[in-house]
Amino acid sequence: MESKLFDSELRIMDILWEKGDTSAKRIAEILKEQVGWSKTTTYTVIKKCLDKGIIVRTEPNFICSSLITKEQAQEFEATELINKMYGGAADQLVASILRRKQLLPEEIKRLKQLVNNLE
Amino acid sequence: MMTYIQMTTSASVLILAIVVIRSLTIHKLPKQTFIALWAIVLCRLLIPISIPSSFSIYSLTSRIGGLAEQTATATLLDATANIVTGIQQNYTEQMPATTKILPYIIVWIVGIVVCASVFLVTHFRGRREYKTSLPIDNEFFHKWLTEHKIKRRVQIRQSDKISSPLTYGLWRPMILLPKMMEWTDESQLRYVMTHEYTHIKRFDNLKQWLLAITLCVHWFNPLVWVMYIFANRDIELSCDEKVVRTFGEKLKSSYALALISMEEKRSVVLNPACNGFSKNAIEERINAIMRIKRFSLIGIALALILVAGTIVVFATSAAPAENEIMPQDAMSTWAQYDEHGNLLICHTIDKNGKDVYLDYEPEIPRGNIKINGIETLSFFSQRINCVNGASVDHKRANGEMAVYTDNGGAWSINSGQTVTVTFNIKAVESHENGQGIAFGYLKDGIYTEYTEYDYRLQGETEIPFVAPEDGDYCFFMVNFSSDTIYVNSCTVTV
Repeated sequence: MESKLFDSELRIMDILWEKGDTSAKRIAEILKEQVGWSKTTTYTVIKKCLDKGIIVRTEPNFICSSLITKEQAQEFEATELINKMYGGAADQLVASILRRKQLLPEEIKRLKQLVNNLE
Repeated sequence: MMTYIQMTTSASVLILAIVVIRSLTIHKLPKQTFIALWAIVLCRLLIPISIPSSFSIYSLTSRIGGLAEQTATATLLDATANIVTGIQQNYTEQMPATTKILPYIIVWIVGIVVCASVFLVTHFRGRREYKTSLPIDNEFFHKWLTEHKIKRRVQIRQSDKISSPLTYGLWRPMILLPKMMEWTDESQLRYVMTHEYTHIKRFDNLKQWLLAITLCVHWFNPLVWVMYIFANRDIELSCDEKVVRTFGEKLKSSYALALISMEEKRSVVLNPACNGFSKNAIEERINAIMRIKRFSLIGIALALILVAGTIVVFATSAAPAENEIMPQDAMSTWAQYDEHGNLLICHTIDKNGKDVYLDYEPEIPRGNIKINGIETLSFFSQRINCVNGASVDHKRANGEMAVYTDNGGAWSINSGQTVTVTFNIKAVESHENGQGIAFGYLKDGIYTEYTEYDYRLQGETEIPFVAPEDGDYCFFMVNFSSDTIYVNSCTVTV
């Protein structure tokens, strides 16, 4: 993945991640229901995703399948954020998340576990 | 073509005037005033008709201007006139005129196509992006929409591809908000929504389209670009003003701060290189907001007077005054033939001063005048009304024609009756032997041959004329002299 995902593209990806391979027609139906896009609009966004190389479309019925996992997308977005806002220092991101709100005890426990795993 | 040049020139004068008025009064008058003034310019630029008025700046300058001192306006108009004359002179050369003027028309049309494409491509590309916007699930907006109902159904959506709020769509308006907005700051949301709603209610999108169309048609006029920029800014300023009026002046600094905070977010997203101008514009907006005051009745009255005055003074054309030369009334037909007698080109200036090309021979006898061996019909012609037989002073340049009428009508003359036409002209240096004219007459509205009437005017010259048959007669002269003939008076004694 080379560039940031826009919200519109994420809408398509969400469907693929949730439901697995889906036909373009079905995606259009779902998004018409969810966000009121016309078929053309949905197909435009699918085309964007194809151009970015994050999905493939196969015959017959233009079945779309995701080429990236949700975790990959999350990781990419997180890296983007760290690079853009925190000068590449991940610890500062964590610090600002921790400052932001009171964490629940179980969240603190999960974070500790994560740090332990990395060591 | 002539009307077009007139349109763009007279509008330029108006634009300059408005820019000056705007810079002097922007913080003193309601911003709608300037939008009304720009609307006058748009009418001037898009509608090829103007209402004659004797208060018109063009009437005034022609009165005050005289021969020696001319205002900048008159000089500007003269410059255009010179271009037009230049084009006309081109016709008289041996080359077919179409090859001379065609390149300009082609360049002009290509420019229009390029401008229009840029606008349309940007617009439709934007539209395609905006369509991928997402709905907003926020109680505030549901409430807002039910509280502010208008006839058209307004939609509100969000997008992560835009950096500041925008509105598009005339009949089904869409307010698009940037994803990065502070969704919890209700007072800011209220400012934004009031601003965008004002755009919708005032059909500002339509105004912007009209401005864009005008820019495309007059793309080579730099002053039209100036207008485009200022008019678009004034639409924003006027909306800001409405927001401040809605929420009360006390909140204007809070509104200005909301604008600034939105602008900060914009600069993160957009390339700062293309932001130079918009930075200037945002400064102007904030400055304007902070200086909004309660308007007095006097201020509103002044604004109305200003708009009405501008229409009368600038947006009209010179009125045809009585007993004066009436260029609008003149009918001039001009044709050129090749050596085989085939029509090369023919154009005429109709009663509205519009230049019209004819693809047929007009019903006027041809072959009357020869210049440089080319047979032509008639020339740039003006009707001069003689009151009680005498005209006011007028001048004719080389190749121009003057038609003398009995105060707009014709003289009824019987066969054999003698008429004396007396020209009193101002002496011109290097024309000691007089200045050459062709003299002729129109009988019952038809031009007659007049090659035999060849005269030289000097001081006071009497031209005797014996009517060949009964009829209604007018007289004309064509200046064949190399210089302008200044006619003090032309007197027709029947």
